[in-house]
This record gives sequence, structure tokens and C-alpha cells, in this order.
Amino acid sequence: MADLLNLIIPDVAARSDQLWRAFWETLQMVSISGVISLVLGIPFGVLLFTTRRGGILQNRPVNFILSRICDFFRSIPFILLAMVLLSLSRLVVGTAIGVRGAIIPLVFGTIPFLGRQVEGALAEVPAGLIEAAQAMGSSPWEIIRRVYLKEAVPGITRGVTITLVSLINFTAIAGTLGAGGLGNFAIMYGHSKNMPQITWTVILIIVILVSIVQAAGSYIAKKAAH
Amino acid sequence: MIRLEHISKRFEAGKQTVDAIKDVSLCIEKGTIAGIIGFSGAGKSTLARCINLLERPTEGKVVVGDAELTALNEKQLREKRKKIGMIFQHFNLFASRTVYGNVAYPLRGSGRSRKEIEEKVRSLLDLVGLTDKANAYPSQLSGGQKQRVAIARALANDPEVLLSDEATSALDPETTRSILRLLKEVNRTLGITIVVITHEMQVVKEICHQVYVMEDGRVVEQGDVFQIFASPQQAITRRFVDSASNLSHIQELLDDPARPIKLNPGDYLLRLNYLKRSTSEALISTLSRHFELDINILFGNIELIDGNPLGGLVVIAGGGHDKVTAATGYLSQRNVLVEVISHG
Repeated sequence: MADLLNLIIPDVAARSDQLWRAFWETLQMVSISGVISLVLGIPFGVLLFTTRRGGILQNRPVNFILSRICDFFRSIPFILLAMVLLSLSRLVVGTAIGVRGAIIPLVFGTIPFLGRQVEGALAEVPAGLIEAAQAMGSSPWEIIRRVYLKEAVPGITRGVTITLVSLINFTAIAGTLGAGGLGNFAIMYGHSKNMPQITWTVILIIVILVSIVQAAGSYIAKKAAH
Repeated sequence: MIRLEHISKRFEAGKQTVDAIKDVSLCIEKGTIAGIIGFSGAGKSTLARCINLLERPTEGKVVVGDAELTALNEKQLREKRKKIGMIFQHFNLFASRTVYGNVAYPLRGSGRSRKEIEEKVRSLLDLVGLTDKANAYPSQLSGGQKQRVAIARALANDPEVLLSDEATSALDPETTRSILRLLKEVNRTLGITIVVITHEMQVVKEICHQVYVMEDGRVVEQGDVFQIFASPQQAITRRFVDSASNLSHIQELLDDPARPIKLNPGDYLLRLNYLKRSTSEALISTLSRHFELDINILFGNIELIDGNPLGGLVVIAGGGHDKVTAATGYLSQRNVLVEVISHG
């Protein structure tokens, strides 16, 4: 196996340790910022939706502010957002480079995206169900927990899947700004040292990673839909 | 039991305002089944939704049982709503929960133990005849079964009142009847006051004791069902009553360009409405013997409304003006309302 790889992609085989480390860094960045984004992004999406006009927590000022914040972060191209946030990163986690330095830009890039996805998923829950729950005496909190977040599981799962895919994309961009990971690896060798084997290997790995995330997401969404 | 006092509801969308309900007051006694009937847009659903304050009236008071709902705070209102069940046209079951999960929904978080909840759900599913479907998801059920689940769910907290908002409108006639039978049974065995919102007079005829007819945001006619069917006062009520009786087909026959009904000179086309328990008398034989009329029955419709026989006939009475007038007088004394539809 090693001989075979050595034969067809010698550039990669010679740097397999670095490739493994880059892969591991990417996984770390995706999972850490993914978990933080889920924990903060889902409530953010719930607030975005429920404070809307006609929502169960209708609150126009709050909704206006949240929406503007969301749109603001979503409209900045990630590479620029990451550049701007690196100084914040240095302030909060003490470094602007490596996996640790990348978490804050990634989280800021991901939460607004996930928030809109969750908002869209909740909007698909039929209004009649909310009415039925209200008629049964459920409080807004109960309706969020026991109706919205339960009925919208398929939609939220699809949203989380899309978010994770775009997060993988973001980590590659963050890699170019010193975050490490597969993106950094591809830029350093594939681009700067003109080694297309490296570039294509990284692309292949990312495609496989995205496929796995997508397949898992689709499977869960399908399981959850009755 | 349910008292609405001067309820008005105004919807405002931008510059447009719609007065959905205009100063409606009504009182529904405990243990009755009251129907609210009207065409779409008459405000009947909005009125029903005012009873549990899903829609907060712009003006007026809502009293259910001993509590004035319009004076309660949110938390108190939620507690009170647990005692007002509601079912809907589109069932509104939770798709992600099984039948069991749907019926258990209102019971969870109410301090009941798992075992108590299970017993309650089982007994409710037994009541609506769906014990074997406990683990099915709503998507696997027929419309009638879904509505049964919704009824079980609405009854979970032993409500005093059940609001039925067009609950049978999405169902076929056979299923509609079975759901209505279930509601009737719920009313009889559990003593629950039921408010039925519908646009079908057939529904009112089958289960209601009282009926309110709504038009353009107002209650234009009300009374017990027998009285409304026997002598509707308003034009709209008459239309509803006619819609539930085949006697109204006479108009279609008269309008038919092929003129299937031929009236000879001296023939009178009459509609006889039996008002009070007059159906047992041999009226037609009496007419033909004593008033020497030739009577040809075109339509007949006798039904039990709220336990009383009610109905009528459409007949052609031949014999000339004088004899028919004498017969009409006799019929009026016998509590039969006579209407001359046409004459030859």
C-alpha cells in the first residue's frame, strides 16, 4: 500500500505525517467550532423565528436587532471576517493562529448561517400545531421545546448538515490565514510549491468528509420524519 | 357555562380593518351541544376561537364556568385552557409523535406519574376506539382516525368544554357521522359542553341541541334546533334548513326548463311543514276524504330532530281554489305550516 502510494503520489507520501496532522487539525476545528455553533446557533435561530411578527415571543425590537446582526455577519465574505476577527481571537483565546486561533472566526461565521437555517426549519412547522398546543395550555417555552424543536428535527438536521459543510469550507479558508489544517497544507505545498498532487489529495479528502457529513445528515433527517 | 358578552373582534392589517365579529352575546348551558353555523367568512371560527382566547376579542367579556377568561393573566389563562379542549378541521396532530405521544402531550408536565399518564392515555384511546393504533404515527392514519386521536387528546385533561372547529369538514359523510356519534357519546357520558362550528346544517341536525346562525359577524338567529328547523325566521336560516332537507329539490324541478311538473288549472303546489308532533295523524287521508282533494305527493321528508319528529311534504293538491283554501285552514289548526309554491 505504502509502496503504491509512493509510486503514484510521491509528493504526498513524503509528507504523510504533515497530511495526517493537517487532517486532524481540520477535524478539531470543525468539531469544536461545530459544537459551539450548535449550542449557540440553535437558540439564536429559535429567537430569530419566535420574536418575528406573529411569533409566540413576538418582539419587534429584539427581532430587528438580531436580524441586523445576523445579516451583518452573513454579508461579510468569510476571508475578510476571519481577518478582522483574528485580533478579537488574540484577545479572547490568547492567540490568532493554529486551531485555537481559528475557533472564534469560525464560530462567528457559522452561527448566523445556522441561525437562518434553524429559523427556516421552524417556519415549516404548521401554524395549526402551535395553535393546538396553545389551546392545550402550553407556555411559549413548552411550545419551543416540545413542539418546535421536536417537529422541526428533520428541517434542523438538514440545516445543520448544510452548516457543517460550509464550516468545512470555512476551515480551509481559515487555513490560509494561519489556522493550520488541510487548507493550510494545500496552500503551503500544492499552491506555493506547485505540487498538484497535494492539492488534489486534499480536495479528495474534503470531498469524502463532506459526503460523510451529508450522508449522515440525510439519514438522520429521514429517520426523524414520520 | 359559556357566556359571551358583547364580543367584538376587529382585525387590522395596515389601513384595512375587518370587523369579524360585531357585538355578539350568547349563553350556552352546561351539558348542551351548541352549534354555530354560518357560511365561510361569517365569523363563526373567530367566535369559537374567542371562547378560549386563541383570538382575544377587541371588546367584550368571555366567561367559561366560573372564570372570566378576559380578566385572567397569561399563566391563569393557560391553566384554564387545559379545561377547554379543542379539535380542528385539519386535526393538528404532532407528526413527530405517535398516537400515544399525541394523547400524552397535554398530560406531561402536569405532575402525573408515568403510570397515571399511561392509564389515562389507554382509557382515552379505548374511548375513541384506537387502542391498537397507540404506536402508529399520524401519517399512517385515515382522516377519521386522526380526528379520533385529536378528540382523545382534547379530552386528556378532563375538560368542561370541547370546541369543535369544523372538525368534520375534511371528512367524508360516513366518517363525519361516526365522528359526530363519538362527540354525542362524549357529551352524554362525560357531560362535556360541546360547541360545534360548522357550515353544514346536517351536522347541526345530527348532534346539536341549540343553534346560533351567524351572518356577517352577527348572530342573526338562535334557538333550539327543533324550533330552528321547524320555523326558520331569517332568509339565511331558511337556506341552511333547506340545505339539509330534500324538500328544497322542488325548486330545482320548477326551474328545470323541461318542466317535469305540470299543473292543471285548479292544481296547487303546496309545501306542508309539520310543526309540532303532527306527523302521527293521518292528515293526507283526511284531506282527500273530507275536502275532496286529489293529492299527489312529490317529496316527503320526516326526520328526528333532537328527538322530535319533524318534516314535511311537497304535494300537488287538485280541486280548485275554494277546496284548497278550506283544506289549508284545517291544516293550520293542526299545526301544519302551508306554503303555496305555485298554482295552475
